[in-house]
Amino acid sequence: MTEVPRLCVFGDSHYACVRQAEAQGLVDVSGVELEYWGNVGGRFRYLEFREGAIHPPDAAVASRFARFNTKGRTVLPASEFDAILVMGARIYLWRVFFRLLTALADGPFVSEGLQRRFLADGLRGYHGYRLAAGLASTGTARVLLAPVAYYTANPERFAASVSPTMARLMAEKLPWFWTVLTEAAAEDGIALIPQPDETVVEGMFTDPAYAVADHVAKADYEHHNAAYGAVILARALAMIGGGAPGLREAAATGTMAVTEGRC
Amino acid sequence: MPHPYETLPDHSFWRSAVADRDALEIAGLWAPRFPIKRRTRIVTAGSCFAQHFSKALVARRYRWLDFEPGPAGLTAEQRRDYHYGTFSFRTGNIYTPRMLLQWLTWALTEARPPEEVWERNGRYYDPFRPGVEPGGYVSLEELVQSRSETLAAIAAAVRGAQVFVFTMGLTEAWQDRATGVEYAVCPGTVAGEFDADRHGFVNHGFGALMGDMTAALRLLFRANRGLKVLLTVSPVPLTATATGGHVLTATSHSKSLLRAVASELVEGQTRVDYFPSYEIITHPAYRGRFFAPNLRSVLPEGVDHVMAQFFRDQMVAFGGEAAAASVPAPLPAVEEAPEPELTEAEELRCEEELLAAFAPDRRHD
Repeated sequence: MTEVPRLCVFGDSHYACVRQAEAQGLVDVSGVELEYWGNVGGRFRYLEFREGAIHPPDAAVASRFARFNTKGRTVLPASEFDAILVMGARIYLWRVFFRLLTALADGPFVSEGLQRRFLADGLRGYHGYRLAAGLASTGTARVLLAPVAYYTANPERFAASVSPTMARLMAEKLPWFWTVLTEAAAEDGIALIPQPDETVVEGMFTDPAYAVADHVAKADYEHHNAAYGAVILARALAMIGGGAPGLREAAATGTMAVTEGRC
Repeated sequence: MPHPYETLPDHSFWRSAVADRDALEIAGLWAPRFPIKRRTRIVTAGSCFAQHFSKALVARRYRWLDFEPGPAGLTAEQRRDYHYGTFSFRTGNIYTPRMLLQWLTWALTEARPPEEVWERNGRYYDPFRPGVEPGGYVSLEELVQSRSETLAAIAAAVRGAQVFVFTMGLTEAWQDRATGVEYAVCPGTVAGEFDADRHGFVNHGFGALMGDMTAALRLLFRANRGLKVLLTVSPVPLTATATGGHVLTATSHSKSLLRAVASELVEGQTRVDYFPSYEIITHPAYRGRFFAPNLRSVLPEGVDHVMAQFFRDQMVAFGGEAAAASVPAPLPAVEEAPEPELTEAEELRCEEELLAAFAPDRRHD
C-alpha cells in the first residue's frame, strides 16, 4: 500500500522540464510516488474529460500518451492520485495578459469588474484548463495548475510589442492579475501556481536562465529547462506536503536557488 | 363632383389594405420621409426593442455606428453582459423621453449629472444605468470615469450621426422628488434603497412627454443641424405598473400616449419621422403571432418582419437595392481565439523536448 502521496504530472510538452528536473536530481521527490502522463499539444488538444478521467480520442493517441508513462496508462483517472500537477497544458496566460494590458494601455476605460471577467474567462476558455477543472470536479485528487510560463525574454524579438505604458502597467497590474486568476481557479477547485517571481524578468518574460538550451538558435522561446521544472515541482511538492522539509520551506517562501542542471 | 374617398388608394381602405390580405402581405405601412441608405450614419438608443434595429442594420451591412464599443478583445458574451454594442453608447435602456432629455443635457450642455450613486454590498451602481456593469463598480471614481466616457460617446454620436433612431418605451418612471431627476429603474430594485420620502412615482402625461421630447429634439438639432430623427415605440408591454391599475390597461395607456407623441412630433417637425414597428407587432391584424407565449417577448420572426418592412418601404420610397436577406452580423470583437494548431516546426520542437526528458528513462532501465 502506498505510504507517500501519489503525484501525477500531466501536461503537454511543457511538462518535460519537470521530468528533467527529476532526472537531474534537482528536486528531492522521495516524498512522493511520481508519474507522468502527457504528450505534445497536437494530441493534447483532443483530450476529453469524462467519467472521472481524461481520455484520448482514439487508441493511436492513447498509445502516444502511454508511451511516457511508467505504467502505460492510456487514460488518466483522477481517483488514482492524491495530486495532479497540470503543467503547461496549452494554457498561455501570457496571451490573456497581453490582450488585457493592451486594452488598458490603449483605452477606452476598462472597469475592474470587466478586467476580472476578462481574466477569468480567458483562463477558463482554455481546453487544458477545462480538463484540469474536470479532474478537480471529481473531488479525489488535488489539482494544481502551472500554466505555460511566459515567453523567454528576448529584447530584439519582443521589444516592439511592449510599449512604455504597457511596461508600466505590467509592474502595476500583473500581481493583481495572478490574484484574480488564483481566486477564479480556486472556485473551480484548482490550486493555481503563478509563475514564480524569481523566474520573471522585464515584467512578463521568463529569465533566459530558465530557457531550454540553445533557445535562440532553435528560436524556442516557449520551453523551459530543468531549473524551471525544479522551481515548479518544488512549489507543487510544498503545496501537497510531499517535498523535503528544507525544500518545502524554500519553495513556499520563493527563496529556493537552483544553481545546477540548467540545460 | 366625386367625394374625397373615391380617389383614395387601396391602402386607405381597411378591407383592401388589411381585411382581404394575409397579415404578412400587409404593406406600405410606412412612407418614409428621408432615405436611410447603407452609407447613412445611424445611431440607435432607447427602450430594449431598439437593439433589434441595430442588429438588423449591422446584419445588412448598414452603417450603424457604435461610439462606445468598449475595449478591444472582448468576447461577444462579455460585450453583451457589459452592454457594449447594444446601443450606440453604453446608457443601457432609455425608457422615457425624460431620460433621453437628461442624457442629452448632461452630454451636450454644461449641466452635470447629480452626484447620487447607489450602493449594494460595497459596490457602486449608476442610478441612471444600473444594469450596464454587472456586480457594480468597485469605486465611485470608477463609476464617474465610466459615465464620463458614455457622455462623451453620446456627444460624439449626436454630432457624428445622420440619423438618430430613438425607441420610446415607457411613460412610468421614478424620480427624485426634490430635483425631478429621473432614474432608469425604481430605486431598491437593481440597487440602491427605496425611500418613500425621497423617491416618487410619476406617470408622464401627454404634455410632459411632448415637452421632454421637444426639448430633447432641440438639443439634438442644435448639436447637429443635419440630423434626422426616426422615432419608434416599443411594442413590449410593461413588466409591471406602479399606477395601481391593471398592467394591461396601463400598457395601453402608456403606449398610446407615446404613439400619439410620435405622430404629433412628426406633424410638427420636418426632420422627424415615425416607423410603425409598434403597430406591426401589436396590432390585432397580426393576431399576436409575433409575441412569445408570455405575450410580452417579441419573437425573432416578429423582429425580422418589422425590419423587412423597414427596408422594403425605404426601397419603395427611394429606390436602390432590394433589402438583402438577413445575413449573420459580423462579429464586432474577436471571439475567444481558438487555440492555434501547432506548426510542423513547433510540433517537432515539442517532441524533442519530450524525447529529451524521457529518453533514457532511468525507471525503464
